[in-house]
Amino acid sequence: MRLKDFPEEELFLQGSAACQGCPGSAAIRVAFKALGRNTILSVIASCTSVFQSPFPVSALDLPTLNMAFATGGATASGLSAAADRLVAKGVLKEKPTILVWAGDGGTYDIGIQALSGAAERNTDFIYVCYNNEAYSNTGTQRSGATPYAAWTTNTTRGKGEWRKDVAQIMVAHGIPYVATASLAYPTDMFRKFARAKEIKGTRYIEIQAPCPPGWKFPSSHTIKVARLAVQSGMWMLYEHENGKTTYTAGTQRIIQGQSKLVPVEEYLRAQGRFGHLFHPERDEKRIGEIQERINHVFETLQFTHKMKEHIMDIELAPPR
Amino acid sequence: MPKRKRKAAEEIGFVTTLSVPSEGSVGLTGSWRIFVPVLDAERCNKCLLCWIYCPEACIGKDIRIDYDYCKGCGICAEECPRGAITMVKEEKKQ
Repeated sequence: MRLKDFPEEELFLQGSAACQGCPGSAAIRVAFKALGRNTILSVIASCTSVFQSPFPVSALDLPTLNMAFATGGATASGLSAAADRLVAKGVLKEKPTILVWAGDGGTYDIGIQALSGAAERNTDFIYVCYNNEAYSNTGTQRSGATPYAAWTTNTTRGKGEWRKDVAQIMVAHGIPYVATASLAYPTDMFRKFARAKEIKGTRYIEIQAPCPPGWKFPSSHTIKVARLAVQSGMWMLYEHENGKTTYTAGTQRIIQGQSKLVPVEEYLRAQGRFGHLFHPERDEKRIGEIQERINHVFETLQFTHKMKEHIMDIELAPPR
Repeated sequence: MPKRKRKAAEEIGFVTTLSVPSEGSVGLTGSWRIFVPVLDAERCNKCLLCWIYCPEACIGKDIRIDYDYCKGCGICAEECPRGAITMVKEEKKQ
């Protein structure tokens, strides 16, 4: 799918309440283009709620439910059951796509129980987590998705723990489709949404969303930071289907050796939230720890790729 | 791009507590802008990257910029591979 083949119809309306350079609205545009108009949306409390609900108007041109934090999986289960019933009764000709749009707070921390339940029941819906790695809506508090050493308002010297990986938790649920996407690769993201639309069952897509005010970089660098995240290995692009993980776009190119891993320092330096690693003095220990972890993951993947190419065709479990 | 304006309650037919999809849900967001993107049409090769990257859907597929709503984030100028968009400080209209 090339950019010029993308549908022109905008289901996200201009003049919204989103910040300048908001990654959430940029992701929503690509997602809505891929899913089309026959979609019912449930927005879980997140930054998207801000531009979805300045009553009496909304910037989203789709039937939308404005829901509480912990309800992602539960509303989807209800919507999906109701849509199934309406199709059986003949009220609806075609079952609409049920889309849950949640932030990382509503997915990683507060909403994971309902999501896990819905995934275990294999409810027919798409769950999207746009991950800005903090509670940006309430002023950048630490979340389960905040990476190691990142500044937030309650980890002022940098977070001491590593982030968890909900995409891998969803892989472990054995659902039909799990994918990660990046704003800097819109064709890859579009393809993943279009693929998810075709499949029945629980589908999980996670988009990394660099947040200019929360991560402290200029609003024009949203896409640049998203691209650096993939190029430096801080964010990995893959899709998991039928028990098999396929790496895509930028991550695939690094694994296949077509492009080199960018030093993680470049990614960290692009953002003010890692500023304490460089000022007043360079924190070699923590930068080294982050780089070492990425190197380990990619060395394993590159080794697996070479093995598959030259020795035998086996599938190793993805590193956690 | 079709323009969708806010409908009055009478137009919808009932008084409602539902939000209605509307363009400009928080007004003309062009007033947030400090720098304004200016397109050099001769340099543009219509790669459409600015169109898909624009977080506010302010650039049409015909690469026309909607200055009523453009918030001036500067992503289009940063990402344009041919440098066809430049950010210029906007003069206050007063």
